[in-house]
Amino acid sequence: MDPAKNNQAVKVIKRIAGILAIPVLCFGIMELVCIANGITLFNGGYSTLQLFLRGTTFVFLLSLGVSINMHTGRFDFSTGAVMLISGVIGAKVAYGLNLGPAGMMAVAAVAGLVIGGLVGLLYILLKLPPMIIGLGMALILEGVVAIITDGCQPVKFGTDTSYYSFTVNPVALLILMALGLGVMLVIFHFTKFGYDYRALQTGQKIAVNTGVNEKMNALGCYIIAGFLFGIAGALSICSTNGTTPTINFSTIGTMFSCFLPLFFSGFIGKFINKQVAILLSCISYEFIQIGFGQITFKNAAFTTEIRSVVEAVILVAFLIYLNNEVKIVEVVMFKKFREKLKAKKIETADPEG
Amino acid sequence: MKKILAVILAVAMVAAALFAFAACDGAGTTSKEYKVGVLREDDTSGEAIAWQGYLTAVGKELGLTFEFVTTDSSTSEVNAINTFAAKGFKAILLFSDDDVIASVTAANKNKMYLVIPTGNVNDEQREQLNKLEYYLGSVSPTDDTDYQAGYDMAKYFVNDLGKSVFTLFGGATCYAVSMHVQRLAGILAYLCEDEGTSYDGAKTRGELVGKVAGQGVDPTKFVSTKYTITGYMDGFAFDDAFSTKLQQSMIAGGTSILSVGAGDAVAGIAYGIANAVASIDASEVKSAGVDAITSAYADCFNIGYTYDCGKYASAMAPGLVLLTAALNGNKIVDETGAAPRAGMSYWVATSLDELNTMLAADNETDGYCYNGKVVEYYAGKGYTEFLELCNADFEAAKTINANYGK
Repeated sequence: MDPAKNNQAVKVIKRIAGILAIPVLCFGIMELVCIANGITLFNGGYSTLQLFLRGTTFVFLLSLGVSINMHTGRFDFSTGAVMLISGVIGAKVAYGLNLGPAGMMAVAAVAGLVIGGLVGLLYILLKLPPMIIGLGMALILEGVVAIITDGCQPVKFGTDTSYYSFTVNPVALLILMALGLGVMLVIFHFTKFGYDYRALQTGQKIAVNTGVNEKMNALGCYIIAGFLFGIAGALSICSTNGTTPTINFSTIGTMFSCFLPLFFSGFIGKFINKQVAILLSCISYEFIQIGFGQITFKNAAFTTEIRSVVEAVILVAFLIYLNNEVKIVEVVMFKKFREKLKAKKIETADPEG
Repeated sequence: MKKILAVILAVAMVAAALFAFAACDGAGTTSKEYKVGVLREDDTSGEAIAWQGYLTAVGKELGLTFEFVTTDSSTSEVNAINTFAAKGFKAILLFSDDDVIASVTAANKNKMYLVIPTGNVNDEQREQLNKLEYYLGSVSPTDDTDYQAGYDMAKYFVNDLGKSVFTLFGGATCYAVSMHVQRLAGILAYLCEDEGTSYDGAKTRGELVGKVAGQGVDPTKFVSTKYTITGYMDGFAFDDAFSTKLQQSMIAGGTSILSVGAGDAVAGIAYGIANAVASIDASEVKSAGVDAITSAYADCFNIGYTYDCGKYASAMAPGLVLLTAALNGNKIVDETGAAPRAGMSYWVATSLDELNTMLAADNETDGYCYNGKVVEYYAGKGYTEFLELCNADFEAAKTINANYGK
């Protein structure tokens, strides 16, 4: 066999393995743990698949939005607040005007886009660290939500089931995922904005010196992220059939729910486009989420606290792996041992040197 | 000269007497305007808003002006108390409870009366607090009240609705929060009254509390020839894992969903699932919760919520009675002479009509069930009458209003 072709084939196999490793591992491990508990991962059939798709869509939109700013070093704590306020505005307007769930998604997306833009505008005007702006805006936006909802009164849809039904409609969810993926692919891979973004990501000073307007790019990032958060926020409210808003930094934790998939995507992204890597990571993450739900249904010893600890352990273990990948691969592949063996063999074959 | 001095003194004495009489405008009424500080951590829930409305409105009738401050730590509580003292406030209503001892001590140092109107202190705290002159007592549903609430809820579902397959939501039971543990134990205790039913070998209240506190319920350990528990959830993360579990439990037949808290959130998700999953008969889904008698729960009755149990706007009245009595110089104490630590009854609505009746009898526009007159009446009475007010259910509350509130 042609060695060049052979190398190419090995590369392709390695790439496919790298892309699928985490999803397959997550599915396999969760399926095995579920079976050990006398249940299957997709016990419940279609209805579980619906929840799986919903969870994947939500965390995918959230992860895409968070990744935009996080991957350029901006840690935006207002993520959850933008989601909440956009979702609440979407729910109030859509339910009030009888626009239905699709209308709610559209209104929330526009609201998220505008509010995200406002956060971005403050960031570039005030020149304060993004974390400070994020924290401040989280408080302000939560306060606005309290005003809109007449003192954090519940936001509900009465007896209208269409909003919840939307969140378990596979076609609607796939459209939302395709929309998120499409927007990200087009903007970040086929526009000047995307090229500038990546230039700034890899070397801000050089990019600015070559004429990239970093302020406008940052503003654009906040706007796009806000758009995605808006849809995610609306989806979140629909999936619980309403919400009772809470304030005083209660929204900050939301962004952390996408950290595990984002770290997963750090690995998968070595083998494939970043946005697709995030999608595969979210699918992997949702295997874990649905699996946890199934296990806790069957095994009461697997409590909420244990679940939180397991999730944190997975996160930490994965971070340890990402930061020590080379060393771990060396250990797993017995690389040093093989090198020593090889050296010994050469020595034995040619003792004169 | 002596005559003129005598006339001046006489006029002065008459004037003083007139002022004194004028100040006494009725038995039990506070003799002048007082400012009262309210410290709370929750300023957004339906309960918090309802209570603020109640205190503001009834305070006007009683000559009390309330100022509300939201705190988030013991330090901020003490600082707020000192600020209120500097502004001439006479009393504190303490809703927040980061460090009860520190707050009451601060109020006592400033010679301000302090009432805990919706929380109770433990034995150790009570021993310390009873030494403080300005501490007036605490009022809140006790463990017994919460246990009974769970017990009655299960009883209603079995006896009145004929249900036997349940999904349970334990709220903060996993964190061993007493009120949720007691409510859950109450639910199980009622079911375990059946001869062939037990939970992990336990049947009595004490045993059940020990089994579920910090642990929750394991449906596989629930043994019964009459009832089934298809699923149990706790914690407040209403995420996909929660939905998956609730959905599986409902598919398995557990369409009677008993919640020890957050019943509105659970009811909303259950309603969505019931209407989205073909194998679940949506009309069979009934949920219940120990939550609050506020308008926020009215909508829930349209989406399968069948039983609402909780505090109500006028639930602040016993606290106001303790405060008003002390301001009038008639401090209410228990049979041992200590500041009361009283329980309080919940109201229960099993239909939207019932809930609306309760809301109509207890609101800002039409008047509160325990209005200023009721508070004044009980402020002039003793501990026995005070307990009567605390322990009144809705029917008793209506009688109290009819007798003393008109």
